[in-house]
Order: sequence, then structure tokens, then C-alpha cells
Amino acid sequence: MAKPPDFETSIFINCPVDGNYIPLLRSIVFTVLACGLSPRSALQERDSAAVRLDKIKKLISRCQLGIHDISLTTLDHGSALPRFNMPFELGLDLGAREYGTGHLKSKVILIFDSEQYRYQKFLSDIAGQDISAHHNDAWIMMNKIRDWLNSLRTPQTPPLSAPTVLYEKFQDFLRRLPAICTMTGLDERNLDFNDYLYFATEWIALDA
Amino acid sequence: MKEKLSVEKASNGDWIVKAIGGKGQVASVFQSKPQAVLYARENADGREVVIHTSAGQVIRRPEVKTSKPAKVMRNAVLKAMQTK
Repeated sequence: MAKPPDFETSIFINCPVDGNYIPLLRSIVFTVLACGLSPRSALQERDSAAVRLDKIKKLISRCQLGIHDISLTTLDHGSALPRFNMPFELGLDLGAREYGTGHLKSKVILIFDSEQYRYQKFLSDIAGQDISAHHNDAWIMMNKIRDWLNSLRTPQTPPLSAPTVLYEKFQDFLRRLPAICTMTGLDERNLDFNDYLYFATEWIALDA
Repeated sequence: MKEKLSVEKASNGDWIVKAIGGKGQVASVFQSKPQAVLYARENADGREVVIHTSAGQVIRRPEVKTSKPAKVMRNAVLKAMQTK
């Protein structure tokens, strides 16, 4: 399989998308964009005819980097059953690196849980991987993603903006997001992922 | 190499728009980033506009299908920024 042209600058985002997690999801997307990388998520694909697993596999094969959050372990309100999508997609990404060939061997993955060693109780097979705790806090999440990306950059590229700078810009953007949505006739509380992505990219293009 | 317009932060804090990959190296200088970006877009004339962060990273623009036309969304962001 040939390496996609934007492989090194694409990050696969695998995290919960329910209401409580939206602030963290938004912080991830903003940080990735402000660090000069391109967030990729299954949420970007609006083709409902495509098989979801095929979409995920395609995304994973096109991204050198991956951010996986396995913190959602609560039961679904409607079904009272747990959701296994996040650990499953983490497994696919780890599998691509393990069993893939060529450029897939260079994949790098950042795994988050809400608390440091909590994963040992529900996904002990990933022991040995470096798991970061975000404590459901956007500031911590942004810090860790920024530091991770900064550690991966080549010596020829400039250091990334300081975490405090990124966080201030993110807070500034969040303060203006309701007004941006009002001006465009969109509902900020139910903002589509692609629309958020576009707004955040444009804000960073003008401000960061 | 096809000519592009690059928006970059200068060492003195100004923002510059310059053509890269072509013959000319004429640069325009602006005091704010929004001014520089808008100038580059208005004068792109078919050239790609490459926007850098103040730390020097190139901003990637993911290809997404938005609910509203891109122009409407861009204008809203610019207006919100101007009322900061």
C-alpha cells in the first residue's frame, strides 16, 4: 500500500462523542489544528452508505498518528450496555502498526483514560502501553497532546506554541463560538463535527 | 515548483505575506495576522495560500463538508474576531 501524501500530518481521533465529552473533543481538535496537524475522525464522513468499519480502517491507514480515549466505560442510557467502539478502534490501530507493512510500522499512538491506572480494571491487555490520564480536564488534555506532538517533531521544525498560549487561544475561541454559530444560524450545543472543525481551523488561521 | 503565497510571522512581530516558489520575492508587511491572511486570500489569484502559526507550523485545512457555505462561515469567524 502506497503512503498517502498527508500521512505524517494526519491524526486519527478516536474518542467518545456524547454530550459530556464534547468539551474534551473540542480541545483535542483545537490542539491538533494549532500544532499544524490535521485531525481525522469518522465523524467527518457523511456518507451513510459506507460501511462504518471500512471508513475506520481507511482512516487508520491514512494517519501516522492516533489519539485514543478509552475513558468512556459507563453504560449507555438507552440500552444499559457498555460501548466497545473506542477500545475496538484502538485495537485496530495497534494492529495496523503491529501487522501492517511499510509506512504503517511508523504509526505512533497516544492513549488516554480518565485516571492513571484505571484501565487495568477493564482493559488489562494494554498494560505496557503508555497511558495518559486526562482527569476529564481540557487543560490537562491539551497539555499532554501538545507535549506529545512536540516530542515527535523533527529537529528541523520549530517548537510548538507553549501550552498556556494554546489554552488561552482555545478559551478565547470558545467564548466567541456561540456568537459565530448565531451568525451562521447554527446551534452551538448541537454543532456538527465538520462545522466545528471548520470554525476552529479558520480561527487558528486568523489568530494562532 | 508552483508559486504559493505564504503568511508568516516576522521576528519583529509583524506578519508578512510573500510569494514562495516563484520568481519574485516581494513581501507585504502587516501589523496583524487577520490583515495579512485577508490580503493573501484577496491577492492569491489562483495560488495556494499557506498560513503559518506564530510558532511557525503550517496550518492544515481539513477537507470537510460544512452545513453552510464556506464564505458565510469564514465571515462569521472574522466578525467574531473583530469584536473581541
